[in-house]
Amino acid sequence: MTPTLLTLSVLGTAVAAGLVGSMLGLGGGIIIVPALTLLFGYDFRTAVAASAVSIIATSTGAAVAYLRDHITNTRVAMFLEVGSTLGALSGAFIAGYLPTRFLFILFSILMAYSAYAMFRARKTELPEGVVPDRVSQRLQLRGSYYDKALGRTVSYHATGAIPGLLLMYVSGAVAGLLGVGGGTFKVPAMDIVMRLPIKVSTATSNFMIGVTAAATASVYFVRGDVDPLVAGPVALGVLGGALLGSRLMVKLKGSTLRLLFVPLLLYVAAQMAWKGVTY
Amino acid sequence: MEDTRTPEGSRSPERSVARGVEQVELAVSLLLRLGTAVSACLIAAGLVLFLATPVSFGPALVTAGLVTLVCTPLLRVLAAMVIYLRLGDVTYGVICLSVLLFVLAGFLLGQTH
Repeated sequence: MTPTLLTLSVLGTAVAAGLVGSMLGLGGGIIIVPALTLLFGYDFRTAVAASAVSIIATSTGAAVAYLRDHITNTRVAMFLEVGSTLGALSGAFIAGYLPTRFLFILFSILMAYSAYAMFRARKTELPEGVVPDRVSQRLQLRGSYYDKALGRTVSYHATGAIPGLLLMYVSGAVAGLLGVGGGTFKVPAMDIVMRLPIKVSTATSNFMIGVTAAATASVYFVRGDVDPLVAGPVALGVLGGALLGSRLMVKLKGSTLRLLFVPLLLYVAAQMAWKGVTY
Repeated sequence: MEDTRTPEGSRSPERSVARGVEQVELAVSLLLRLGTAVSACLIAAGLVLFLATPVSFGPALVTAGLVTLVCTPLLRVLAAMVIYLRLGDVTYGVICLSVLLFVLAGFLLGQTH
């Protein structure tokens, strides 16, 4: 393959990853890493470094549209980032003390349960009868946005702020420990535990993942793992895909978004189970 | 779910929260847009130069674009922190500060590992 053709192919793959990642609130690493290693034959380090950059590109590219449409809840994001960044930080410390095989199996079950919960709630457009807890009230974890699919303004209030924060800590630690499933775990946590509308969960997760990935990406930069000729087209393509995906997502119904999530969660559950068994 | 937007300005704490959220979102949104535009231009220019011309600084331009991209999320936490503190919202100011410290610690720790 000529350098130009290769760059364009990587760019095209990255557009797809950005599209999917921005719509579902995850980094798109589950597309970028296998594509770069299996399809294009890059080594794992280069692929993982490019994937860290792609998470930031997804987050930043999509946030522009989600913020303009007021779907991202910046307060919820900043509050939960405390958990996810601390989790990512401590993941490295506790890595040696935890049974990795057990963690993989445990999270596989958690992901499968999330898939089941998402599937069961597939017809639910918006959460109903949410009673905000004291911490959510004190931190004003609420908001409203105009839903383009429903054609009306949706007001919501979060609940379960502390369980949500703990789950974000776990998601950050897991991403650090197992290298997979950070973003995928955040959306079901916000959806099931904090009872936020699915669009708000997705956009807010999207907003959050950029911060945690910034720390990881800078480490890869310092180590010299970031190959500009791989990470460059990946970042550019993902930015484009995320700009497109975020405009598409706001027009989708929440129930459609849930259905898109189910196969993804099942895939991650299967991947984790496989890693746990073969570890 | 309520069908109507909460009337803004009915109570003064409500209004100040709404205004704070608005200010933070406006600043963050502007910063993200700027970061995206600058990094996308640098990366695109660098790639075109590398692929189509004999000049040697193409990859360096791409790297500059990638560094801009990586810095953008951190700058938005910093910007939000400054605005929250200026509005007197100490709780959220501290929340943003701890996020920044955890990210910094993660970076320093990752470097040594």
